[in-house]
Amino acid sequence: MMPFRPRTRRRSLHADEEGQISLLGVMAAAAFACLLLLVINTGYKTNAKIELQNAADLTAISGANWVARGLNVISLNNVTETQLVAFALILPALDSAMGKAEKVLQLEMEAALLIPFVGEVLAAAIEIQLEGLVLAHEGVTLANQSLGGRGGVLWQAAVVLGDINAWVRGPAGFFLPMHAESIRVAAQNGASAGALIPAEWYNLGLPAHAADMKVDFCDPLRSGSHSPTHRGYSSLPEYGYEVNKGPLEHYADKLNDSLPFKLVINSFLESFFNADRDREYLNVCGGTVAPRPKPVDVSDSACFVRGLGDGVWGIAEYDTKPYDKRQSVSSIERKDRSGPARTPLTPIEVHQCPWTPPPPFEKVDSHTWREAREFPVYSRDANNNVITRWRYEVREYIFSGAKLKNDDQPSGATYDRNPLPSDFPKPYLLGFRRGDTASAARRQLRYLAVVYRKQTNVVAPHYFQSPIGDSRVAYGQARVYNPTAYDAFTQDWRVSLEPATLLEEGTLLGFSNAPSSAAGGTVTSGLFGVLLRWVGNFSSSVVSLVNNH
Amino acid sequence: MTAGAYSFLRAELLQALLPFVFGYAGALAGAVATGRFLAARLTRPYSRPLDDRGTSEMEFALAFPIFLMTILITIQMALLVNAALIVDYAAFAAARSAAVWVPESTGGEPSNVIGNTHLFSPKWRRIDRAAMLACLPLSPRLSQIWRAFVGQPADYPATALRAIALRGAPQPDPDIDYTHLAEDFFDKWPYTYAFTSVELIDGNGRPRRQFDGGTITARVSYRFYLNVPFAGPLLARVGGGGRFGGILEPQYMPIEAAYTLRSAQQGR
Repeated sequence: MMPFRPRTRRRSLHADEEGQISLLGVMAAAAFACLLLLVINTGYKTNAKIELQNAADLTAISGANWVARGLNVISLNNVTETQLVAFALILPALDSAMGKAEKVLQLEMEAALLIPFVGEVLAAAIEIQLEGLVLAHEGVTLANQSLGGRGGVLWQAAVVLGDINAWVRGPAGFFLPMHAESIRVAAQNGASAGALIPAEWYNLGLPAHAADMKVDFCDPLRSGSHSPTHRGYSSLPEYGYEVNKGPLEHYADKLNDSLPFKLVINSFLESFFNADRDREYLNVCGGTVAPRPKPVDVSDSACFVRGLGDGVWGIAEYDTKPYDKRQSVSSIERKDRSGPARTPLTPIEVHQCPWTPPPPFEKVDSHTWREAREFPVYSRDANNNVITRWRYEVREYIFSGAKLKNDDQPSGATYDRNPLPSDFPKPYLLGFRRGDTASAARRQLRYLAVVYRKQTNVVAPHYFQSPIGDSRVAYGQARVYNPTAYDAFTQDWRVSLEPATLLEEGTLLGFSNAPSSAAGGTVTSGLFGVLLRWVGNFSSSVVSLVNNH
Repeated sequence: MTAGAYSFLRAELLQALLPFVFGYAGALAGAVATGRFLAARLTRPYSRPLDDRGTSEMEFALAFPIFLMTILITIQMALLVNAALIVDYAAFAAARSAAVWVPESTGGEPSNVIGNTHLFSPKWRRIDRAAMLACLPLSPRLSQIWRAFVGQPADYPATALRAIALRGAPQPDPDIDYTHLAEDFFDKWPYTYAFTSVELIDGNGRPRRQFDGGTITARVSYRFYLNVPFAGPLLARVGGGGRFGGILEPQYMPIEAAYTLRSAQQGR
């Protein structure tokens, strides 16, 4: 305990009586200095850990923000592209429909002139109508010739938007800026080094794949391999609860509802226009008109089947007396699908027609898909009770110009024959590849940031060395999500932090939960999966010691 | 960020310490005066001159306990401040964990809702674990203090001790060769597990179970083990600390810290 002193000074020190408390005081001062350094260093270290965690979070969020921005740009381009294509197809349809309507009005006018007394008045009224129509038709013709049609200006603009999407999706537009931004943010926030690890980091691009226009615009299943609820427009109020509509149809209906088409559609032009529009779609998309469904023999007077348009539609209506939709549908389905009729849930008298409603999507053969939609029609009977009629529309799609690659894959997501011409616009859909499901797309939109920092601001670092070294690693995970609709047509992509399941799931010992679907599951395949297993096998104890979340 | 509220730095504690400070100062002054008086009396000219080297020893003997007590209290206070910094970091870790886990929907707990019980809740397990891992370096080793808690003779089987220690602790992987770091970890884990608690609070400091995607405040309470002799019991007695019970009755001081972070958003 006694410090070493030269022997010659012992006597003088022994005689000195002033040094007793001073020696203790020096020792106490040294102890206090050590304690002060301890507290200061603890403050530095905890501050550094908080800053490092914040740096990891900021790195993850700022990197994932590039993904959200890219997907928002792609969504905007997709929607604009769809609108342009819809305009490009509607304009010739409207042109020809107005030509037909002019002829009809001329016939009407000539017929009206045959009526005595009032014929001329009627003919004059019709002529006023006809003049307005001719005037409008001239404008539409001019617009059609200058803008519309396949290969027109609108069409070319859609093609350019598709090219912009390809650039945004690619490494130059997305991958390099994202990683540069991550590294910069990590350095700006005090980390010695930092990097962003996408869940599937070997894909050098946004998780969005180019889709053929045929698949996206004309296929009722949009991209096919996506789940049926992943077709663009979820059942939200802002989309008018349209669940079964593809984007082109969606925008075509929006255009029909809007001026000036609303004025047109509500008139006698409607049937002309619908037929021409459908024909234009089918011409561009390469389909053919399906044969009209064979009418069933209607023995029940409550049922009838009639066709509409030029054979695309088959509409069946039948009466029920349901109290709500679910009961009636379930009772019908029970009767249809289970062979011998069961007792319905509630004793409802169902006048069911022999025509059975098909499932919403039905594969007829390898080239044909049948889509059914149902919607209620309300009316009242003689006793003023509400009667719900269920109207079913059946629409068949036949893809004659293309062949399905694999019959097991629904809706022909991959066309290996007769690909679309190169001048067709290409929308971009979610997922790295065509076969990705919605859950796969969610997995791809997760990003892990790992930052590293060497502790440098410790006072007297030699005496305050940590047993596990001076380097600290922190990590954070961010996800890109869309609270409105999980697709590449809705411009609402956002970023949020989430639990770091990419690193922790399955790697930590008793710490970790079982792999759960809390944050969309874990990555178990690919290079990152291999890395994950390596981490889990060899360094899980270290990971568990630095684990914070 | 909410500043940490350190209970041992309250004004009551400082007021309670004032009599001791004055008492020590008075006793020190008295000891010095007594020594000088004795030295002056014993070295009077009419008396037989004595060896005056004993004076300093007497001064030392009188002043040393007071001096030592002052030093010990200072050391204990410095360790408390050190612990407060770490508990503050534990509050950050708990808030960070809560900010990402509370918006999740897992373990039967819907999004932005957390249950009351910590037992079967995956969210609470992570939040508690984050705070405990941060507080772990502060905890005493169970192998050194277990007798005070258990009250058993010294040959108490180590396996039973390990069984008690591992309740609620992470289970070691038999395939992994743990180093002494892991030994230290398991030695300190039981105390940390027992005496660290996390609460998610609202603006009024009351427990909060429903969240709205805004901010999340976590409050961590930790019982800091006062291991400096004489000073620890004294601080615990006057500073609002407590006793664990048992034979040696070790003392602790509660430390609280709160931290507020912005919550993550629930995705679809």
